[in-house]
Amino acid sequence: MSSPTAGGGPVRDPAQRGAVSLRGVTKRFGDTTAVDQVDLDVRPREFISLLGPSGCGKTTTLRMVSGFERPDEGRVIISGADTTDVPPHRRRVNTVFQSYALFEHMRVAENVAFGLKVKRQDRETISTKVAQALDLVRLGELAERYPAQLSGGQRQRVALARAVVNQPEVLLLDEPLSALDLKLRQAMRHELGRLHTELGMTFIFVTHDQQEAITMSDRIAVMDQGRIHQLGTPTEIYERPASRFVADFIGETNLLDVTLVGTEEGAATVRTPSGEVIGRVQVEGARTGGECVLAVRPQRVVVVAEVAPEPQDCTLFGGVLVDLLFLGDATRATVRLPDGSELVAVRHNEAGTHPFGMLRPGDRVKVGWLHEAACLLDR
Amino acid sequence: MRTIARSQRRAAVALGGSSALVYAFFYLPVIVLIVFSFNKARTGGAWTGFTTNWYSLLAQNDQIKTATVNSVVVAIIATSVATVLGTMISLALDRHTFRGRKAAQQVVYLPVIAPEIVTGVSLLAFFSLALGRLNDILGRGAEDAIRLGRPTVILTHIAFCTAFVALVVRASLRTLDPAIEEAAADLGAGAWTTFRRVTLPSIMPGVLGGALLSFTLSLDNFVITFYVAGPGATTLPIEVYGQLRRAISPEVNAVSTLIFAASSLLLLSALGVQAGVARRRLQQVRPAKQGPEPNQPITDPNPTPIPQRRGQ
Amino acid sequence: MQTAASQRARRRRVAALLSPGLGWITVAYVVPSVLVFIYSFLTPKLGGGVIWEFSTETWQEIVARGRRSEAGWGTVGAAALRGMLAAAAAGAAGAAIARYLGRGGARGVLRAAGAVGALVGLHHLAIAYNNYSAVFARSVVWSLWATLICAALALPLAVFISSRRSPLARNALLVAVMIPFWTSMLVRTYAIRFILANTGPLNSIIEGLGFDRIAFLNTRFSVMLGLVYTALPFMILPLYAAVERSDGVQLEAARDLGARPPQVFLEVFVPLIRPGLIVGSVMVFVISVSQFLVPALLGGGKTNMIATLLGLQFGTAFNWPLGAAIATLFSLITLLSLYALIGRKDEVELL
Repeated sequence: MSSPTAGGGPVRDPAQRGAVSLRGVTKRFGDTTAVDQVDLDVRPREFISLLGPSGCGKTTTLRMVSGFERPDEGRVIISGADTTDVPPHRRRVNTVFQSYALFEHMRVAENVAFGLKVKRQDRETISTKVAQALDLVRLGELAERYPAQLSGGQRQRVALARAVVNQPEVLLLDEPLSALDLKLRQAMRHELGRLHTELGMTFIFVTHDQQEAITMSDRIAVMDQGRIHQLGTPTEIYERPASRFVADFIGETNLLDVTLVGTEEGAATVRTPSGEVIGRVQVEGARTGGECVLAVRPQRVVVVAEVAPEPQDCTLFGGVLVDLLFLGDATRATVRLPDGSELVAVRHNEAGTHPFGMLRPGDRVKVGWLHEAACLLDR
Repeated sequence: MRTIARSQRRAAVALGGSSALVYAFFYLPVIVLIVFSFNKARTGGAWTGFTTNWYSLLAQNDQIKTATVNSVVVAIIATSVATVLGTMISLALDRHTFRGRKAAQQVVYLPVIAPEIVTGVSLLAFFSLALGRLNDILGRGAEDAIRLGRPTVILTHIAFCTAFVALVVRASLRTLDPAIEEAAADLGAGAWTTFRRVTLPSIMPGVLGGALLSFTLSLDNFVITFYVAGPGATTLPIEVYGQLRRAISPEVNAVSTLIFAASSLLLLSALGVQAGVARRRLQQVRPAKQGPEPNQPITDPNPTPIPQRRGQ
Repeated sequence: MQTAASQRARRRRVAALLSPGLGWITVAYVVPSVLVFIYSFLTPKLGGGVIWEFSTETWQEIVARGRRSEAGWGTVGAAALRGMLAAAAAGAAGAAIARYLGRGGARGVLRAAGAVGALVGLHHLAIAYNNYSAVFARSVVWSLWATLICAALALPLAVFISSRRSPLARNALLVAVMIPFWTSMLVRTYAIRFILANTGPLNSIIEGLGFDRIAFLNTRFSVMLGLVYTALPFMILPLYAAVERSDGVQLEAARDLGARPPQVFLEVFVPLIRPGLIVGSVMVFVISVSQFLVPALLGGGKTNMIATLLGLQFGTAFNWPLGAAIATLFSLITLLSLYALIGRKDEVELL
């Protein structure tokens, strides 16, 4: 218990400040493996999201960074130093907890001051820093309130201020927005983005909400069953999902069971169950035929009347429009293919026009997608 | 360098060790007492051999037998009355809001917080005065006067048992969704039918539990009873107290063992019925929470209401 | 929408439900207290009872005389001095703790030190003043010690039970606390008396080891042991409920913010379980301070605690007014300490 500063371990490289590396990290609880051989490199000052359904191991991963769980295997390296065995109170990492975990018996200012007090900073420094942190989250006037007197959004800001006032090298956020209502959640997304830019620290953000992850992150790690399925920028994850799970989890996706016919120069030709042969499907790596899944976003699906001329760069095939659903800002069309599978298309509603023209449910239509919009995944 | 793991393990060992010591502290004296109730030697703390002789002697001890009968009669009457009255109070307190509700609640807590010795002597003073007036009115002299005895003991026990039942039943009423009563009313049931067909069956575990616990309470009560019993209505604890004040004897060990066994059994059956309440509560739909990770142990946020009991 | 008639019917129903039970509790608990207060101003009748003649003799005896002749100003002064010394010692200890925790809170430390000092001072004064005040002071101080010991023993146990993951283990451990909680206090006190007796099992072991017998019974040790033994479950159960209800994430948050384990304990854990700690302390204190059986069976039945003194007046000594006065004072102290410790807010949650 020598110094309250972080981490033990060897000399720290300033360039590594805020970097987090997980090396083959595994955590088991009884018979279940919550986190399974995870490798992850978080860059300094990056905003990275761990995204996945509940029980996928994202929170456990976060808790190994904060020090509340010790990995059964593997190492946790923070700011270039091996931190695997450092207890939480000696890590330069702070957490915004899902339930906020505010100290109900302390005022807002005391909550924020807690971390500084236990590190025995002098009183003036503490009050200056607390005031700054509260201003940062725009809660200056509520310093003397108790947590019980605050709204959900305000509690959330206190939790944020309480964590960032310690100037951690890495800020961990465990589903911090999940307890807020939709409007607040959207406002807080901007707020978090602003804080990330202003503070210049690494953010590791755990969420099950793909929209949150996509709008805020520099990179996203999609997790399921204790493993990272894909790590990439939001665009990469959205446009080029690496697996059926990712494609399905991120946004709405049409998944068609297809058979691979052949590949050339990164483009594949596939056959749909109803016998259509479609070319120019994106494919990563080499594939040699067999059963695959074709994924295409509803926004990229084209639906036109049977008699309409074929747009360019499109492969179209026949189907029946079975449903049109007005969604407010968009309209959603469902087309049934001859084999019974369905394709969903979504179009934004422009003022005064109908996105699907004069089409009505029951009409025979032509459906397809822009070339390069579909990608091929393992089944 | 497994700092976290080691310090956690050390803390766990310290916790477990100190807890084991506390449990030993609880049970060692009682176990020793039970063991020595089978000891051959009449005096002394050395083990000289096994016998059930003291229990046979007990069976022939008329004073103990009379006192036991006395205790059981008092406990049965007091519990029966208290269960009805206590349930009524808890219904009024839980299902209605009215002026003076807070004051009523505090009165219910009185038997729980009032020091028993004060209650005992106050009731002695009260009964002496009341019975004195009664005898004057009835014109009874010294020979046929009504004195302290079994009726005063029963009346006293009814008072604290009622408060106690009210608290236990109220705990189980709290877990009951008031909407089911509204549903019954909505379906056309009157107040009495609703109570008999819907409310009472739902809180039955609490009522039974409260009854069993109040039975134990009545059987065990010593201090208050000591002052209101008078010479005619010696209950078992008073008889035992008298004997053990005179001398430590293996018979006292034997009767203590029996009392301990009886109240443990009563408590366990009370808890057994009340477990029904807990089970029902577990079945209630819980709001789905976001992202529970498998590492969080699932704990019941509201442990079974713990009945509180005042000591002597 | 409630009509006046339905409201009247509702009110009638509440009254019908409440009045028999509540009425009897009131008659049995409130009326006698008033009566006892009245009795304290009457004249004692030989062999028990009262003569209905107004007298302040009893209160004069308790307040002003109380048969302790040696209580001169010197003794009282010495008591006050000891109180101040204690306050200073408490202050120094508090300051050391505050320094260790890295907190400024000088005011809190001073207040705690002042409270301890005042308590010690009052205790010495009361012991020196007269026999009655001495008995009251002794009962109170012993009960405070018992409360402290119970809290120290109960807290690890409560944490241990609630940290069990299997509900079965948790319930079994809880039931194991509830059995002593529920079984006859008489039997449990007797068990201690039996073991500690001069010819009891403990002494026969000691003799077997070749030592002299030790007179455990009728000492401060045996009384304190009895107080803790009988009251401990009353601390464990509310503490357990509080630990179970407390938000464990707050502890993690404290560690996350850099608090060392002792800081987490004192600054976050203790405030979290405060309601349970208060309820448990009140229960243990009230039970201990009104103990009748423990001083009777383990303390030798000498006038060493309030309940013994009180019981004697209605038994062998047969001075009902004196007993009534003691009972009145005692109820007052109990109510005041309940009120002071619990306050209004937590009281609803009590029990």
